[in-house]
Amino acid sequence: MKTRNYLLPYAYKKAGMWMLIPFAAICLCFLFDVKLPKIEVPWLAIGDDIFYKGKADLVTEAGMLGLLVSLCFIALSREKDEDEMTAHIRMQSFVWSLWFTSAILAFGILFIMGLDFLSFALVALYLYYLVYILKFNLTMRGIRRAGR
Amino acid sequence: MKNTVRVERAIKDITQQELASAVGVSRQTINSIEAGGYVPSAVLAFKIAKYFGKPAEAIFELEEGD
Repeated sequence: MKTRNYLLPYAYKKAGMWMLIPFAAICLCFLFDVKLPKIEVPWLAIGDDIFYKGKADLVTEAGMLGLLVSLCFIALSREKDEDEMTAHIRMQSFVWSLWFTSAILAFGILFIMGLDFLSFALVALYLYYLVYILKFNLTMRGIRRAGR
Repeated sequence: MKNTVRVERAIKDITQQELASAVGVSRQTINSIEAGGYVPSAVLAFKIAKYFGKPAEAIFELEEGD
């Protein structure tokens, strides 16, 4: 019986890793208030009074979207040697990351206030992906080393 | 779940890689199964048993607490 796993081919993982470098750098600049050039364009979005008609900074939008896409590529691509044990480790890592991220979010909601909460919220958007990628890859690394 | 995959492999004189290729998984998966770190799915257990020409229960055995 064939089951769908909804994963991308392995090549996307490599592409995601290369994409991560510039996009993570842009997002770190936002986080630490480093000034980047602005490219403002008219933008229609959901916002005040249902529709937000104003301007958006393309550098910000591209940076955050690029980070999301690159993390998706890394997290949701097959391994070179993907098999049922990899799928099992993937599932365990998903659950572990969800617990860990929830604990961090609960801590942030309770103990981070003011403007710092905005920085925390920005990181929190990507935290689940980051924790999952670290957990999954460290586990796989441990298994590959044990099997040598 | 206990298994005798390592013993069966030794009898047949094949490497982990050869068994892994025959049943369509990675060598690390066979290594983890032999070490007891990973319990294979029913499909994989039947594939391994078929490869050795034995019934699955001759290779895989439930332990107390399973």
